[in-house]
Amino acid sequence: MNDVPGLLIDRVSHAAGAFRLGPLSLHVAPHAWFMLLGPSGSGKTTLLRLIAGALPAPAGALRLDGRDLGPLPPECRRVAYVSQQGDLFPHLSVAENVGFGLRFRRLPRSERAARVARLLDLFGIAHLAGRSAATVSGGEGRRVAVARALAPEPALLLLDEPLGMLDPNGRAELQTCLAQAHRALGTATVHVTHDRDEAWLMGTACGVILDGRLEQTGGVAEVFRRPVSAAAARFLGAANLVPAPFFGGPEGCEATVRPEQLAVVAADAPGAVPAVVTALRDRGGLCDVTLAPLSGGAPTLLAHVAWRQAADLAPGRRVGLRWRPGDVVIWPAQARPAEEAP
Amino acid sequence: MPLALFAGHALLHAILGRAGWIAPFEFFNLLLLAACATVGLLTALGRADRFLGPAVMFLLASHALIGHHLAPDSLTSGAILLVNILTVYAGVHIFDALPLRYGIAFTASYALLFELFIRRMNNAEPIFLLALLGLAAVGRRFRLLASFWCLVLAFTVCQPYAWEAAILAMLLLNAAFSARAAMANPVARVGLIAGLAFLSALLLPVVVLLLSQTPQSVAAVLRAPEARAALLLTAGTATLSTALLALFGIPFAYALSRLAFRGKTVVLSLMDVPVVIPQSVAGIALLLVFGGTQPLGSLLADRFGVRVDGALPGIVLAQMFVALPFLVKPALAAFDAVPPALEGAARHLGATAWGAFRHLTLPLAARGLFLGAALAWARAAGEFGAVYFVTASPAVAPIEAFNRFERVGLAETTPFVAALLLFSLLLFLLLQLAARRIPTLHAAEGGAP
Repeated sequence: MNDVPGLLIDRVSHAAGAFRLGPLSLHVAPHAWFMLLGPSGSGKTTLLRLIAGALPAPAGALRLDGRDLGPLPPECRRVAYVSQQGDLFPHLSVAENVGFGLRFRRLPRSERAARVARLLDLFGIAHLAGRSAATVSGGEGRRVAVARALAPEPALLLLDEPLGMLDPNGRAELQTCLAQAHRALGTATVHVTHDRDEAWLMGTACGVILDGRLEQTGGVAEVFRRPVSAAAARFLGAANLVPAPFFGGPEGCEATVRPEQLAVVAADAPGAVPAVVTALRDRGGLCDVTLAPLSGGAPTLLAHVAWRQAADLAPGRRVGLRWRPGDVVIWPAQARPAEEAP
Repeated sequence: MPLALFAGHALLHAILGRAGWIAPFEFFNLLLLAACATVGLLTALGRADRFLGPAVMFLLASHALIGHHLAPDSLTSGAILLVNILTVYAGVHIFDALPLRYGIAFTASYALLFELFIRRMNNAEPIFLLALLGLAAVGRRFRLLASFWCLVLAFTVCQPYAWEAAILAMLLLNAAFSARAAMANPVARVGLIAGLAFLSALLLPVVVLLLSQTPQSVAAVLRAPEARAALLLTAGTATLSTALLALFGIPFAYALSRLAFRGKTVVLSLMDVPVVIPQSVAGIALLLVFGGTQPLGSLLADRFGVRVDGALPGIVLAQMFVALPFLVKPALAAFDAVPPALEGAARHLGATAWGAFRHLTLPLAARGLFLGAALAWARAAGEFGAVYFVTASPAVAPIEAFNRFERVGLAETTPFVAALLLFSLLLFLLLQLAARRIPTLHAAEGGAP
C-alpha cells in the first residue's frame, strides 16, 4: 500500500486557528490531472501548501511515489508548487526564471539550455525569453510560472487557481496550453479551483472539498452527475434540490436533476409534468428558464434551454417537464450536515 | 473712459507729488504702472487692439510732457522711453494671450522692482531699467519669472552669498516647478516648496564652504602629509568598520526580517540605542569597558596584546558602535521588501534555504544593503565624539579638523574642511551612481540568460 505510485494522502489533518483541515485521504494517480474543487476558504490552498512543504508537517501520511514527504524539506520533495500570484523573480529574465530550478541540479550547461528552450516552446513564450519577468502580462506570467515549476521535472505539479484573474480569452488560451503541456510531459497535477467549468474542461479526476473535508472524489462526470451529498451537489451547481417524491423518489429523501437534464416540452406531451414559466434569463447560447410546477409540491425548478427553443417561451406560458429517471440523484435527507455551514 | 482713468491717476499723483509724499521720478513711474495695468486689464477684457495704440500714444505724450523733464539727461530719457514702451508692449501681450494671473504677476513684479531699485536702493535707475528689460523678456513664463526673481533677490538681499543663494534657489525652483502628480495636489506642492526652502537654507553653509576654496588651495591641503594621513586613516578605519558590521549585521538583519520570536520588538528598539545616546556618552561608555585600566581592556592588552584605547582598534570599535543602526536598519528594510513568497517559490523549485538566499534574496535586497553600507561608512568616517574619547590620536579627519581649529583658527582650517567635504561629496555621488546600477525588486533589468 505504501509503494503505490502517485500522490497518496492518508488521513492528513492540519489545524490553523479555528480552521481545521481533514482528516482527509486521497490518491492522485501518476499522469492524472486532478481537479480539487471547493469554495473560497474551504482549505484547498492549505492542502496544496501542506503537500508542497510550505507549512509544518501535518498529522497523517503524505507519500509521493512511495517516498514519505513528511520529514523532507520543500526542496527535496520533487513537488512543484505554483501559487496564485505566480511569484516570478522580478530581477531575472523569463528564461532565467524558467531555468532557476535547474541551477540546483548538477546538469551540463547545454542540457540546461535545452530544457529551458523546450519548456519555453511548449508554453509558447519563446519570444519572451530575454524579457524581464517584471514586465510580462498576467497570462504570460502564469505560463512562465508553470514552465518554471516544470523545469526541474517534478513528480507532482500543484497549481493554485492558475486561471484566476485572467480575462476569458486568456483563460481559454492558458487552458489549452496547460493541457498541451500535460500531454507532452505527463506530470501528475493537482489543480485547485473554485470554477466548475474548469473542472469539466481540464480534469481527468476531481474532488470536492467543503469546509476542510473532502466531500467526494471520482471521475469528473461522475462527481458532477452523481454528487454524494446535497452540499456537494449545491456547490457543484445543482439548482433543483427538492423533496425526492417529486422526481419519483422515496419519502424523506432529497433529489435533484441538473438543469441541463431537465427537458422543457409542449404542455400536452405524453408523460410530461405540467409547469408554468415564471422567468427567462437569456445567457446567449443557453437560456435559464425558471419554472413553477403545477403539482407535486416542488417550489421552482431551473432548466437550461437552447436559445432557439427559448424564443418560443415567455413568462406565464404553460409547458411540460420531462427527465430521464437515470438522471435523478437521491440522498437521504439527513445526509446534509454541511447544510448549516454557509 | 480709460483716458479719464489716466487723467484721474495723473491728477492724484500730481497732488501727492506736490504735497511731497512722492518724489517726482517715482510719481512718473507709478503713473506708467497704472497705465500699464489699466491697459492690461482692458486687454484682458478683449479690447486690446483698440487700446494698445492709445496706450502707446499716451506713453509718448506723457514722456514728452513729464518724464523727459525729470530725466537727468537726454540719453537716460531715451532709455526710459524705450524701456517703458517695451514694458507696456510686453504687459499688453501677457494680458492678452495668457491667463490673468500672469498679468498680475507681471504688474506686481514691476512694482516690486520699482520698490527695490528706486525706493530702497536710492535711485539705481540704470539697474532698474536693465531689470525691466529682463522682466519684459521673462514675464510670459512663471518658471522664468521665478528664476529672474531668484537672481534679483540673491544679488540684492543676499549680497554676500549671492551666487550660492542664487544656485540653491534656482535648484529649489526647478524642483518645485517640475513636481508633478497624477492629480493636482496643492498641499504637497506647498510642502515641497517650504521643505526645499528650508533644506536650501540648511545647505547654504555647505555650498558657501565649497565655493570659498580654489582648487589650488584644496590641492595644497592634500599634499600636506598630516592631512593626507588623517584622510587615509579615516577611509581605512571606516572601511574596516563597515566590513565588520556587514559581516554580522547583514545576516542579523535577514534573521530579524524572516523570523518571529519573543522579544523581537525589544531587539529592534535596542538597535536605536547608538542613535539616541550622545556621542560623548558612547565614547566614555566604551572607555569604561575597553580602556587600558579597566578589567576587560587590560585583559585584552596584556593577554592578547590588543590595546583598544588610543589605538586603531578603539577607532574601529567606536565607529562600529555609532554606525551599527545605519547598516542594520536599511538592511532590515531591504530584506522586508523581498516577499517571503518569492523565497518559498525558490524552495519549491529545489533551492535550499542558502540557495534561495544567495540567488534570490541577496540580489533583490542588494541595493538596500549597499545603501545601508554606504550610510554606515559615511557615519563611521564622520564620527567625531565617540572616537575622540577612545582614540584622539592618531587623529581621524574630523578630529584633525577640530585640532586645527583649536590650534590655528577658522581661516586656516577651512581649506582642510573643504577638502574633506569635497571628498565626502565625491564618494556620496559615486555610491549613488553605483547603487543605480543594482537592479531593484520593481524595476529589474532584463537580459539574456
